[in-house]
Amino acid sequence: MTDQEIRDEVRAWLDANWDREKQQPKDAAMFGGKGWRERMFDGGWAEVTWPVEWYGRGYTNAQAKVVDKVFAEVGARSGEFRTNIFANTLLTAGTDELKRTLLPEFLKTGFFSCLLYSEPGAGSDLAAVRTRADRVEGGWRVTGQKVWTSGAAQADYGLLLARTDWDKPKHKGLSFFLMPMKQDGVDVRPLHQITDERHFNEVFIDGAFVPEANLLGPENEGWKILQTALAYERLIMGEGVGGRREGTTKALDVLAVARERGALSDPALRQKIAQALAYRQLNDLNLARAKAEMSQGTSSPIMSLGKLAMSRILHGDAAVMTAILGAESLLNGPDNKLADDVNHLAFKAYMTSIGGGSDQIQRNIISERVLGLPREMEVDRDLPFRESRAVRG
Amino acid sequence: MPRQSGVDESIRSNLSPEERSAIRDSFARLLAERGTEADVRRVMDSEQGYDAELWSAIGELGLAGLVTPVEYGGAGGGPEDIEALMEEAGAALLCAPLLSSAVLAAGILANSTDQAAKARLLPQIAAGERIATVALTGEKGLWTADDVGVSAGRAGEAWRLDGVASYVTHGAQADILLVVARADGQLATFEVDPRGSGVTVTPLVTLDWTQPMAKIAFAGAAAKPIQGAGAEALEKTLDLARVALAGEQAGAARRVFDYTIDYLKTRVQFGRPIGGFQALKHMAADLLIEVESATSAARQAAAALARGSANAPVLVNLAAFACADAYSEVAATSVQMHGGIAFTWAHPAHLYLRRARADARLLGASDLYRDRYLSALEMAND
Repeated sequence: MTDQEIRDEVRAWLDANWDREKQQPKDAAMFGGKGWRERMFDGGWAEVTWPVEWYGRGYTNAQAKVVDKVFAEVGARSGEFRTNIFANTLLTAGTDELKRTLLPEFLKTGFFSCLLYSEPGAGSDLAAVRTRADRVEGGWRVTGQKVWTSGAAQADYGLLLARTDWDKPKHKGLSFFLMPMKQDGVDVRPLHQITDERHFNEVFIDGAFVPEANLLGPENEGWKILQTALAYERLIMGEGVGGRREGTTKALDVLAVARERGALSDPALRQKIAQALAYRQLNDLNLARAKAEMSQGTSSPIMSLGKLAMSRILHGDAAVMTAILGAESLLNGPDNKLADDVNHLAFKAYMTSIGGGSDQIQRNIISERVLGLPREMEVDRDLPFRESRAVRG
Repeated sequence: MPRQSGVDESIRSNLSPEERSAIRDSFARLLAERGTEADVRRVMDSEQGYDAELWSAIGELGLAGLVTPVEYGGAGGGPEDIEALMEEAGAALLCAPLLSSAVLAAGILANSTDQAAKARLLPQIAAGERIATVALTGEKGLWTADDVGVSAGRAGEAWRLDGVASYVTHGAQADILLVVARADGQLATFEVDPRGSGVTVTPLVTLDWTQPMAKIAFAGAAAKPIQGAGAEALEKTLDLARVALAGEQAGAARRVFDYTIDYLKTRVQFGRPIGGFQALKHMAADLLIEVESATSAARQAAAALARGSANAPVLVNLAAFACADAYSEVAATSVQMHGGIAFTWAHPAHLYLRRARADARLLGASDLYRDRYLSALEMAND
């Protein structure tokens, strides 16, 4: 299919479904009450890079960009699920039955999901999770405690890592589930963070039920499935979502702050400002090059670097803006909006440098998987999990 | 220099990406064969200052004329072609005047309007038969317009130069000397015979033994003006040289990084490869970001320059300091990661560290380019 044929098809579909003048979908009433996402799904536009048998069109990333551009021209959006962790993990690891049940529903409604990985006793050492899933009639009963879960209260499903075999070594007794969140036995409690926000939650799970079909991948091979899910998460964090304040759409702009506070005439500050902006731009250039190389079929180590690079960018941005503000950075609150935002960033930057694998874990991963250096020693790696210190204390 | 709007600033290449890649491969093969570490050390210990045999081989491959227009005997390549070539040059610590002659001198001539000078000089430079270089900066070595230390005066029809240029790369090796001087308050470029009277060329004792430099004093030296080689042509040439140098730095940083990682895998202490220690693994991961960033910055600056993109000033200035800093960081940290072996003269780490420190000053230091980068962003976001 040529790019022009794709463009023509998208335009024809948009002509029928999108009101160009009002820059919004044509009235649902004209389509038997079907909403925009549902019509996108019916048209095959929900996620064009997915295989044809899974509601996509099997397009390449380059072709998807052609589609996105035509949608964007009229003010519409496409590809909203392209890097969605839930959807991609389900697509990669779900059984055909589960995909047929959940994917259409997801693509039509865009329901929320959350990540149930970390526990109080399993942070960087994620394979030490102690939440248990025990076989029962028709599925599994889950009991344990998860933490650092965002969106838990809104989520329909949680991507759950739980232990299904305690006699196997730590990585080999884990399974990966899609757990329905709206049920008794799932208790979500907001967590008060260093930013004074409550973005994350603790999730207490007491005998919650997961149907048999919601196991992703084989039983006890959850660690492998998790890697797929984590790769998407790190990809997203590397593209800089982590630095934005809830309710704002744009990262704090160092250049704009510098200009507003007259810092551009200070030669010492200019050096720091330029360096901060450079780190961000270099990361953008790296991502652009990695995407170009991947579209030509070459794998790129750069994709593993984005999150570590973003952590330096965010902490660095906060530091240079704090320097620009001077004593004003001692203040907070609505009367000191800019200082409040900068201070917020200075604390929130830890979300990127700790969350989703801390900078130190990232450096281990990069040096081992990209550079081929020896793995870290892990004294409990081959022990039956029930004999490890994670259990015995 | 501010770019004029509406003017096509693109520097088109006659070469396809496939040809670029083939040229790069043949250069890499040449260097693997005749630009080895042993060759580099042989040149370092010689009085010549560059590898004359390697330079003729480069000339025979047509690479000394890579960015010279086809009508003057060159290959008609562009910024992306020279950037790619320089990545290989940097990796091999090339001891030859590729930047001095094929980029700087050929560039300022090609960007001038002086048809006679082009016809007379460019074919010889492109063939590698004669070495040319450009005297750009004065004794402060700032590589800014203010730092030009040579002035040109007219005596009837003839021009004479007075003053001092320094840090002239391959200044003592050059057959053709192009001197940037101040004439009637403007920058202009003059051709000077390095062996002519009133010209004193003094080789400098340099930290980096692979890239010779000279101080050149002029006392009423006879000079021939190159027409249309003023500030604008100079800035255009410098942009090409910045991208070329960034490529050299990116390529060198990658080579140093690669042999450092290899060493971490083979050097055994405490009963295991030292690459298993987190202290070193984490240094390696951080350096990988520098290496990849340098490659991205150099290549994308070259691409922007080739397209004549409005973003070219931003990307060229970014590459200028990001690649310099990355190479310096990687070369310096590599010594530390190797430990004692890299403190010996026999190990190549110090050769790269010397080149990294020299390259980081050449054409202007990182502070200068950070400032220019910020100015370019300010203009772009006005």
